[in-house]
Amino acid sequence: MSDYEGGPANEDDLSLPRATVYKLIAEMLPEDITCAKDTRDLLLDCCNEFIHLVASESNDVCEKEAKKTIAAEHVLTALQDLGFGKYVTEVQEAHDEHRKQQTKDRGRKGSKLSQLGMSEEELLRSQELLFAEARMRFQSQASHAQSNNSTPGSV
Amino acid sequence: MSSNLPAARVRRIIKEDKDIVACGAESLFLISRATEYFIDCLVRESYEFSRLDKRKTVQYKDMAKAVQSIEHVFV
Repeated sequence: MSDYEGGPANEDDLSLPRATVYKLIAEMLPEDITCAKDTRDLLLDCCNEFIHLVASESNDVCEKEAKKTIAAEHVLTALQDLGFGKYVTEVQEAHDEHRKQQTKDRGRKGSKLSQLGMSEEELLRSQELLFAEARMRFQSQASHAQSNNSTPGSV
Repeated sequence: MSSNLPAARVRRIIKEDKDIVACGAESLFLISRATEYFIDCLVRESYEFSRLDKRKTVQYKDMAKAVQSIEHVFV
């Protein structure tokens, strides 16, 4: 099975994409500072460990609450329990932003109808009108086509 | 709002743990973000060590020292 993500072929070597992490490192350091390759690779390994650690701890929190799916709250508790409390504020902010964005997207989908300014009855009436117009157009097209094709011998 | 890290890859790394049944999309996003802050912290601390040594290259030993500072987590 080909890995179209361009990731490692062997599942054991699963880690974050090198290029992405290298780019993040470069963005975090001043322009004139470089990071040795073995250092970047060490960071990659640490990230892997970190993800496993947080996921595992989140899972423990999740199981204690007799839940099966790791929820956002479990991750936040896990970070606190693991001693990454200083991350919690920033991650919490990202969480709130993410939620706000999702509500906005959901709201946008729902408000399309209310933005039209028509009642449900009016909407149904205009829908019926549109169907009738379409039907008439279709029928006139069909009869027009029929009169064009009606030559002797044609099916 | 999105993470710089690819969600699918982070999910696959998480799923390597067979004890984990399911991870919600929101949790996945939070773990990604937390990992980014983790990278940020490690890189900044490592840079501090290299700066103290008056070097322009962050070396392995700098990051090793930075990791030691959070060693209580990495048993």
